[in-house]
Amino acid sequence: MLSLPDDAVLEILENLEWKDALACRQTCHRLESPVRSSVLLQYKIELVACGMLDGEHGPYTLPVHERLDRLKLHLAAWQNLAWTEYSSLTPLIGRRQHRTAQVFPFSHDGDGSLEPKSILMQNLPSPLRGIEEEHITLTRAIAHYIRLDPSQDLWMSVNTQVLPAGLLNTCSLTSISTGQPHPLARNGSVIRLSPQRTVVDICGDYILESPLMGYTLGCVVRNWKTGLVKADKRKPWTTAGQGLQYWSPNGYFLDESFVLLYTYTMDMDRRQQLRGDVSLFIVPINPDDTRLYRFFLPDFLQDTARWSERVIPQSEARGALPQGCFSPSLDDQLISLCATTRNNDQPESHLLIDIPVRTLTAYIHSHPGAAGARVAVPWADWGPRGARITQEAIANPAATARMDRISVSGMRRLVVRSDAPHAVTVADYHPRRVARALARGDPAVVRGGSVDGAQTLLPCIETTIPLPEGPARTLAEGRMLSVWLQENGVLFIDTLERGGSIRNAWAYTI
Amino acid sequence: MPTIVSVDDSTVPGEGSSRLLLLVSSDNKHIVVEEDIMSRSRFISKQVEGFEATSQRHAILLPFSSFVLNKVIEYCSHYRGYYLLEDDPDAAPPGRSPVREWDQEFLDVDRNMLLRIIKAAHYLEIKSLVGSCARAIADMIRGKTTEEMREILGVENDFTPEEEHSPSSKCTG
Repeated sequence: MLSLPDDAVLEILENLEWKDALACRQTCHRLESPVRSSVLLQYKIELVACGMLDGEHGPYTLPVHERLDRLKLHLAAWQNLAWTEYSSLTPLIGRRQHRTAQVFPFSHDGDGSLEPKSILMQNLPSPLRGIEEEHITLTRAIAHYIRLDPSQDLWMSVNTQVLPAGLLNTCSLTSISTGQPHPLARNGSVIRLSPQRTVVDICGDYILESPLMGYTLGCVVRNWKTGLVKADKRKPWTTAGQGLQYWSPNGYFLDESFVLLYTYTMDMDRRQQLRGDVSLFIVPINPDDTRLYRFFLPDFLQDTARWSERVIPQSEARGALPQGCFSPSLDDQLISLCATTRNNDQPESHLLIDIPVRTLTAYIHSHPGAAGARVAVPWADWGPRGARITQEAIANPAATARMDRISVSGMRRLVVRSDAPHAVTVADYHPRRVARALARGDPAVVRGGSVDGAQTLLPCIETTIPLPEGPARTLAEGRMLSVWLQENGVLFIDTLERGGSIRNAWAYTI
Repeated sequence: MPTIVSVDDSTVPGEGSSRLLLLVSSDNKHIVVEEDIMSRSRFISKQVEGFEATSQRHAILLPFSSFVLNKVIEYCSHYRGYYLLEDDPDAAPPGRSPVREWDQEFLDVDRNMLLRIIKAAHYLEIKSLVGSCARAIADMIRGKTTEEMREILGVENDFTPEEEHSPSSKCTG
């Protein structure tokens, strides 16, 4: 080995993956320098350290050395946040719909009637990642509740009809590109869902139906291509109790194996939330796996606690959208909860609870539990080490506006604060990016936080900068400002009111 | 010692227009091989161009044993007439050399032999063979610890204890 010429040694080492390259670097001096000098190996190591995956390689794609340069610039841009020139996107008109996947749908009212006539999907461009601005217009009768999965060309709309016999929920599966019934939906493109108000999510071949509320908690996982039920997780579960009802305003696929249901219990007699009962239920998708995990949140989250938003940018997570030269890794997702503590004699305070999905899945893997086990995990067992809880001065904390001030993408969470002047804080929880920042003594690393005596230890990299001029003016003038954090940058949207027409949009892309 | 041998310039009957080359290994074995088999080697091709320029053909001396040379000739014979992108001097270098099943079987040899073949392939400038050997060697150390890698590659730890514990050699950079 030692007598081999340098370029042959390099050729051998460049076949290695990052882990082996690092191990090899420590064998001897002779092998250390080629690992350090190889652009390809540096790129592989850098990708891992940044939590990114390599994009496609082909005759017309960027060479490795240029990817490495861009990757470093991309990371530096996130570490030293600065508002660059904002780009004006294709005019965003109409009303903002629920964000779904990594696209941002807007509905056009057309003649001003309440029924949206078409939906414009906007994808933020990224000069560094080589992703161009993209927008697609959907024109077909639009249901109010839609889910999009551009990676599968799937557009799912849920329709609810009130019939004498009760509610009839159906979902239609349409191809985004043609507007016709989706060609892979075998038994017709309309699936009849459970007759309850449901929250729906898509993951690969499967859709999730989780009832918004009910005396029993559960969900149904169905193959949307065949319409057949893969797992019905409703029956074996415990009921809430006398006069109590489960409310699950959010449910989605954590990954290919687990479903997450964010749940609290309502006391139906008093019409209020049960105290100290906010939890994350994790349900295995496998129909034979009857385990159930319940992760409790701190019991001072009373009265209200809700999602900042639907957090998993699923299409990018499933890895099939336009990737550019590198893209965020699939496993790295963050759940961000916005909660309120409210005591009658004290002003409302806003809490943010950031939970990396790894925290939950790692706990389940290390505590496999017996078949059919009901595992209750108190906050103290998982939260202080695996989550971060902070008190945030959230801008304009009118109840309806709060949720639009927080946005999550991958392992980053952005919040618009009401400190003077209005500021934007980005917290990055990616374990390897944090480890690296710690190793070089970066002062931006913050260790945990504490609220009401609840101490958390999870570290993150936190950067705060003042709002750019346009969005700051919007807030100052008392209008509605929504933020959208993406791997490619930040989008600010100025609307008259929640769900109202868009007046202005600023995109700061990386 | 370099013996200048003149090689018969006539074509071999039944084998098209390929001329013969005389290769001499380090253990002084003389091996006659058709020129177009070895044309995959940039080194040999350059030698042949030299013959044409000077109209004088002589034996090509190679610094490795006949055992290794025969293995390389076997490889070149197998791919005789095949176009492999990596061996095309005019083509842009491919990002990653393709996995060829035959090569994997062909290179199912012990570590020392593999190192000798890659060295020979490098000397002869046969890029496709260097690539396949490199992959095979990398496969041997994949997933191994640093200590196991030293054993497999036959290298000594020459780091001082300070270097070994310095963060620059440990952390991801």
